[in-house]
Amino acid sequence: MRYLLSAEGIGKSFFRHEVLKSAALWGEAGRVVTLMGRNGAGKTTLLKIAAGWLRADYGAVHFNGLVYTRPRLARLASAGLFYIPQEQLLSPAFTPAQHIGAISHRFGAEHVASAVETMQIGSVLDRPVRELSGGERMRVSLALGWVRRPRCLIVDEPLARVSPKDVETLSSALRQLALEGVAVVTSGHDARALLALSDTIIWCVAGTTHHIGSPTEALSHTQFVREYLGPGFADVRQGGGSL
Amino acid sequence: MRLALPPNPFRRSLLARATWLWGALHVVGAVGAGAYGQPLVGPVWSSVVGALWIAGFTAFGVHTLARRRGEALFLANLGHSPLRTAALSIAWCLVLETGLQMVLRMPA
Repeated sequence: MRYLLSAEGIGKSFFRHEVLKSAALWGEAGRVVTLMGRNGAGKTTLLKIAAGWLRADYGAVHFNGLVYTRPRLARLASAGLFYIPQEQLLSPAFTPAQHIGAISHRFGAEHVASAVETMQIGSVLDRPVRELSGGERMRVSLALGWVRRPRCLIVDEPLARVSPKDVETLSSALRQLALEGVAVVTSGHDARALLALSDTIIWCVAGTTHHIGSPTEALSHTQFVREYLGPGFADVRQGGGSL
Repeated sequence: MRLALPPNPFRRSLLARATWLWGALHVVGAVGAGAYGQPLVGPVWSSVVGALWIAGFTAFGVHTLARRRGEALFLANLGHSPLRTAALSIAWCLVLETGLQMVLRMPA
């Protein structure tokens, strides 16, 4: 299968501590691919490398038919990628309206109204970002992705530290973007919401990645359930499976 | 020229920060020169070297602040690389420097 985005054979060390070794990640048009794994497993590092925001020690990123041995976010973004990090995409000094204005100035304003409505950010548009809650910030960040309409959207832990209502809004928006053909790559820990949202699960463990398959296959994967999801998911498991 | 420069208000913010840093470095330089009894306006070659150093420090400072405030990542998502924003800071510093040197070297 030919992927829109793929990061292959990725390795990365920080001060001799090997975080990733031969890890892989991909994004498919019209599908939601989710990277799951424990804290410190290297999910964020892998997403940063795939987005061109962090340099890998080895490995390559393929995007839209081109191979990048030294990918840079600015170049990938020009080619149709949009990256929403876990920590901060929005500048605290500016308002959501100013961020949306900058995106629409560059990529067009066709989707601004639907972004504001879908992400329910009308009431916070003119408030400085520093005054917004975590959920509001993530909704605004995703609204920027909505306005941008990238070919590939990478969102790191979109459902972390947000209210259940925001989880619903964000999940629905990610699903909608995938339905419209965007390759959505995401990560996180909110297993129930992510399994409901995703088409493909990749397990990031011990510095490398394993393709688990569809959410149904994930729930029937003995080792994935035992070592990551935990006993709460054992009751829905239907079969066996291991790496 | 949509692609060449970051959009406002991000561009204004970057340039304002570059102006502040450039000004602060000049004030520090002037105070230092005064303390050692050096003339404020030296030969042209030393002004050029000094201007390049100040522009480099300013660009580094602007880049660091932009990264801390999330602006570098946001602008990268718009296709503006950190290198390009650093180049903008340097160019702006050289414009300011040219103006300053013209004022300082004007005959009384």
